[in-house]
Amino acid sequence: MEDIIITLKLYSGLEKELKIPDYNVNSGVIIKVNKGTKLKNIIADSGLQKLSGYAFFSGGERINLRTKFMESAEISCLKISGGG
Amino acid sequence: MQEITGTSNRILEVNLTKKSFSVYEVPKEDLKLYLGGKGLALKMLYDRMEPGIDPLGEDNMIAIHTGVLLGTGAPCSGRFAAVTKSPLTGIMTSCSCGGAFGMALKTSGWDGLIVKGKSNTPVYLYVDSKGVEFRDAKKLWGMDTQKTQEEISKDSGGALAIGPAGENLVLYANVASGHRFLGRGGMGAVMGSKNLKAISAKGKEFKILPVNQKKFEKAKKKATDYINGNDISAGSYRNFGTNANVNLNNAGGLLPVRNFTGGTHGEAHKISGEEMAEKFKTSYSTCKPCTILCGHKGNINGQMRQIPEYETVGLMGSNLEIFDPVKISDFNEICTLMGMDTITAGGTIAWAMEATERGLFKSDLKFGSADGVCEVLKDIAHMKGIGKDLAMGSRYCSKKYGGEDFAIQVKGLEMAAYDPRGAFGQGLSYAVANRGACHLSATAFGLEVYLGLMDAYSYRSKASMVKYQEDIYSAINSLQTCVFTVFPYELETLLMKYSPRPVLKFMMNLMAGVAMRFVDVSLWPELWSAVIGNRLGMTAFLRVGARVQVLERVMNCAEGISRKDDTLPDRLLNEFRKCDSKERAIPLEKMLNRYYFVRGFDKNGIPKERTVRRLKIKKRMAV
Repeated sequence: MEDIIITLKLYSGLEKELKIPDYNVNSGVIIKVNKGTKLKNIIADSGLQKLSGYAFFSGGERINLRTKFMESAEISCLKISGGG
Repeated sequence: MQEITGTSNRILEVNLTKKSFSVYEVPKEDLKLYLGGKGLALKMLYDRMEPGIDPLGEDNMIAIHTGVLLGTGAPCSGRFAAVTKSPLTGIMTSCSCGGAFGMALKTSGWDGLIVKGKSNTPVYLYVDSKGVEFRDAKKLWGMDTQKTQEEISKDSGGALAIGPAGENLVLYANVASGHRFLGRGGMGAVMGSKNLKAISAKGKEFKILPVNQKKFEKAKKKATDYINGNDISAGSYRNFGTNANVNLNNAGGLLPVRNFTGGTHGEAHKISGEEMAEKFKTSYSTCKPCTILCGHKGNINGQMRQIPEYETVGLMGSNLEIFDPVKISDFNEICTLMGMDTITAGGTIAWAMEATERGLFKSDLKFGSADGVCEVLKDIAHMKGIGKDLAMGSRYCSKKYGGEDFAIQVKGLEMAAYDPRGAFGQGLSYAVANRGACHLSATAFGLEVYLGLMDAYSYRSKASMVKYQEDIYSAINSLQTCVFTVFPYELETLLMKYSPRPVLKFMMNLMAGVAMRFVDVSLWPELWSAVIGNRLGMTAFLRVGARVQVLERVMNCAEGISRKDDTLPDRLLNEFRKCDSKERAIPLEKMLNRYYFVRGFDKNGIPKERTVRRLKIKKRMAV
């Protein structure tokens, strides 16, 4: 099975809540997964299940836990806000 | 201290030409039909102002109304509304504002104020329970908004003030109340045109009591619990202010970048709320009373300053490709002191940068560089050099120099910091918003991108959703309370909190109009009913919102607004962005047709006679 690289970027102070040491917003959390892996499995395998209640985006669009990744991608995970 | 139970219903009508004032008692029927705040302010101008008047002439009026909740201690009720005819757009503009002025006016025994005429010398008004004093403002002329407030607040509880931009008739000059603003559409220029530097109110003369104290306390507790339990109000807003939107909009493709040519940028996190909270060690600096606490201040280069709001960061930061939070704070500070709307200032400077790049306009401004921006902002406020043109906004500049396709404005009002190519419903919302490209008329992007309850790239159900949001926001602005209460008051109700997300999404995408009828919006009318003592149900509350929305449209149509004006800039309709996974065009015409249908407008966007009758909007009363 072919591997792909997922870069998970955390915002809204999530990195502090998850107590990820030395988190760097420029590099994010790098996760290697099999091609075709669903988002819910990516966050479960990386031990970040607590994130499942938050909002995920990739390629400028909102994605959900069932989204499958066929190629390397950057995913942003945030708490939602309400407008300015 | 004297007490007012419910509301005083008394409005001061001030004539600056004659230096006189009278008292207007709001008819009970109008209070019921329009509630207060924006609704009543708009109705009072509808009855008093002829269409076609010069916004900077003697005949234009400013109506301020505090709403019935202010002074009662209801959560997030430290707001008041003001309405006038905008010199920037030539149509009605309405603003909601925090700061101490509203509370001072209300506790001086007045629900509102109408200012008309023009003084022949600079004056400021001092309001107390006896009425109005006309005070000489020659010494204040030329002072910035904050210094002016300091000077005149010595014997009062709060003040409204314009800065040099208002005095010099910059078309997007605003009016300060503390560090909050009547921001959009140039209300500061209207005050300046009347030689009215400021209005101060004594305050603390009356205590405001709800008619039904028990019912009020119950509703207040429920409201406070909702706010404190909601992730948006007690999480993102409270921790990072409205700037929490930067990273979210960057991730969701909504962030304006380089005059709306892109929706994301790799450096956006540098100007985010999270970054600023840490870098500037922020603390709360909010409206009073406020339970959400979205306003923050921080230590910026040794100075305690208000942290720029998201719209400022979007329009004066990423949209200019400037990712230095200190520079953005400097721009914000100049606009604060001069009294200028940061959204229109940022949008107009972005147009100038692009026009300069294309050789249409001569300036030293360029994307990605903060050099010269502070100087240009000061020149705008003082109408000097290129500032003379830029003070007229991007619509004027693009007509004069070319580049109308990249002047990002609707009906003359520059667009707020959400690119609608990432949320099609927001495109409709901008196109039909009464005051122009406003983000506070309907926040479609919230449902489409933040909550993900609607397909952001579909036209389906968007018309019904935008209509619903316009109605509820107009009603909230007429109570009056903060529109940010919409998140806790709606999302914390049983149906929204416990319904399975796929069910909500299915309902919202297929039949938003029906789904919205099941949303529990009872908390707002409960608060109003408890204060006034009259029953107001959810349907009647939403009906008020629709009435206010359509009344404003009727007034705008009398100024010549129709379908031709309900559009978006060419760039947003015809240019694709690199950040999008595929090329998509906003299906505006389809959404517009449906919107006119659900609103009861004809195909040209004019409210039908039966719509106006059904909403009990009467013919102009010529008071």
